[in-house]
Amino acid sequence: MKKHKKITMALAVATSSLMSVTPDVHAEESADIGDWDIDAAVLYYTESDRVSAFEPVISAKKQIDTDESISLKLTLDSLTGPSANGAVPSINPQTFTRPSGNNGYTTSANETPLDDTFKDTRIAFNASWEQALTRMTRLTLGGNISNEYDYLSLGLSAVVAHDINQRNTTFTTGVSFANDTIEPEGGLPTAFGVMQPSGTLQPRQTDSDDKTIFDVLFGVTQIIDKDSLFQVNYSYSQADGYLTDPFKVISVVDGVIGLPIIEDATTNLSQVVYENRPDSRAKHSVFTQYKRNIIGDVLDVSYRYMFDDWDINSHTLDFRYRLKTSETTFWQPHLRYYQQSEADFFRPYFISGQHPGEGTDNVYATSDYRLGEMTTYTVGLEYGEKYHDHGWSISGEFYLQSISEPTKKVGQLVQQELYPDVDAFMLRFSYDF
Amino acid sequence: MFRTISLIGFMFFFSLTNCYAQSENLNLDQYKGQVIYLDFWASWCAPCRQSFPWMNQLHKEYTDKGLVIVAVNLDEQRNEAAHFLKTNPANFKVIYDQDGKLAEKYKVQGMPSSYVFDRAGQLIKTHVGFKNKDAVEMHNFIVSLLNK
Amino acid sequence: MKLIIFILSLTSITACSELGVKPWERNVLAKPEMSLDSTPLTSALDDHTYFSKEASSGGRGFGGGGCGCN
Repeated sequence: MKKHKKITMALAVATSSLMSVTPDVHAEESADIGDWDIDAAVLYYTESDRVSAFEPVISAKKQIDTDESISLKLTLDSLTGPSANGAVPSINPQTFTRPSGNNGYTTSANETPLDDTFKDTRIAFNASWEQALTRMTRLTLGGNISNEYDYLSLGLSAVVAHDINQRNTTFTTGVSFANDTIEPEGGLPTAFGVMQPSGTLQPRQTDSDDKTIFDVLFGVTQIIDKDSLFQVNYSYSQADGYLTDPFKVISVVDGVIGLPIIEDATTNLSQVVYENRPDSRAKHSVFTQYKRNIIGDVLDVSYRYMFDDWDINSHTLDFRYRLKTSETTFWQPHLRYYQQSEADFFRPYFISGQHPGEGTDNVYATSDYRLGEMTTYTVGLEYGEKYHDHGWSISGEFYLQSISEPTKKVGQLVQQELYPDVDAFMLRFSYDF
Repeated sequence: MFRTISLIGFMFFFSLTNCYAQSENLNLDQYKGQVIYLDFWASWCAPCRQSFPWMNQLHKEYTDKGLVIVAVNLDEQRNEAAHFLKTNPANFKVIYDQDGKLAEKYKVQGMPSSYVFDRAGQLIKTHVGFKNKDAVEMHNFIVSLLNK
Repeated sequence: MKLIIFILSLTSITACSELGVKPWERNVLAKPEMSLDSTPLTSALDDHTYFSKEASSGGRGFGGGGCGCN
């Protein structure tokens, strides 16, 4: 079975190098000097009829002195199942060529075309070291490496936290840098190259390419009173290099009847062109979080606003309420609301004759729903037990992605749903000792 | 007769309220002539867990040489302090300052905080935090005061 | 413009000396569940999932809060 690298999943590791830094130590939870504090979790994610992921993770933290610690984390990510390739559904069955170029796959009539060459395992390793530089200043250095069959990501980060006002106010500054190399089987497609029948030469440019991501974060944490605190962060992310999803395609359809053009009649291959994204992306985010203790319960709300130079802006609202049901047990309902606007180069499909020519690098288009206008909802519930030397929790969440359907469609596309809702279930189990 | 009974009753009642006082009074004069190590701690303070074995060691080695350790607990709930002491026993003197009045008086800047007084009762050294790295230096400092 | 407003609001926060607690009043803040990122493993798993399904990522920070010890 040909492997199909999942770039976007792997991208997450690179940009999360700042996020993998360990948080402040807490008395009840912290190990004594010399002990290893172990945390483990496993996520099972499954979309209806689409991709599934199984992701175990384990981390270990050791206190070297009361102001110095190291932390190690290992993550495995196993992905299976099909996902949308970006082409439109049709009243007729369609055929597409697999990324390797060696064989093809078919889509039934009136079904969203899904590429099922999706089996990949990613392994990621993070290490970080935290040390107090002065009584009021702490430095955390981190590194991470992530590897898939044909993808390698390397990242470094440094975060400095400085307290003032008897540690009631904390200023955090962080920078991270990552380099990702992509070398998919069959090579990278040419921008707007036309997919060819399996067994023939595919439009490819190079074997591999890379991208660099630079992140910087400024944050302020403020204690309000004995029971509450809040945080406000600003972060900036700059990505440069190959940012396209190499295996997403855009359908070319007839301008009147809306049927996909047939590229090759003998194999019933639909005419699709490979997408092309800009080679740079600048993102700005403002994030704020508030936590409050309410007679043993904990309220946790956060809001993030993001805008970038692809014309995408988003709002994320997250709400959690940890209900203390006894000294050792809790329930935690969770609600998340997310809304994003579409990228300015979002194109659900091309009308025949209107797509850019093969190799046009400076024009951009994608039909990938993840860059489209969408609203997502997450509803979850967690149950956990916490003892002085160990604890565990289990949670189940429903995640619904509701993507906006294009308003003006041609021909048979009017009857089709180009972007049906994607619903997923997430089951998570965690254990610490 | 009646006056005596009511006076005794009043004194009894007064001493009872003192037993359950939220903040114990601390009179360091009683330790004049000795070196005093005054420590402020709480059950929720992780470095405090590390400091207890070290303070026990000091207590064991230098009590007969004139060292007095007084550890002031700042927990709001007495049972939290009791729970901490079960797994981190203290051989030195522990007093309770639930309301934080002593902490205010000594202007505690961080947890834990330690104040070292020489044999004349003068405050010589203040230290915030507990680190194994600093503990050796503090140990030697105390020894130098004891030798005076 | 938004950035300027944000930075100004940050500096006004630090001017608020009304906010805060004494160093010995952090018993609640010291609890693990009161940490800004109280379950870092699961929040990393979540961030990863949402990053691969949506167009936004990150933003969350850390540092601050907690027992404030040492």
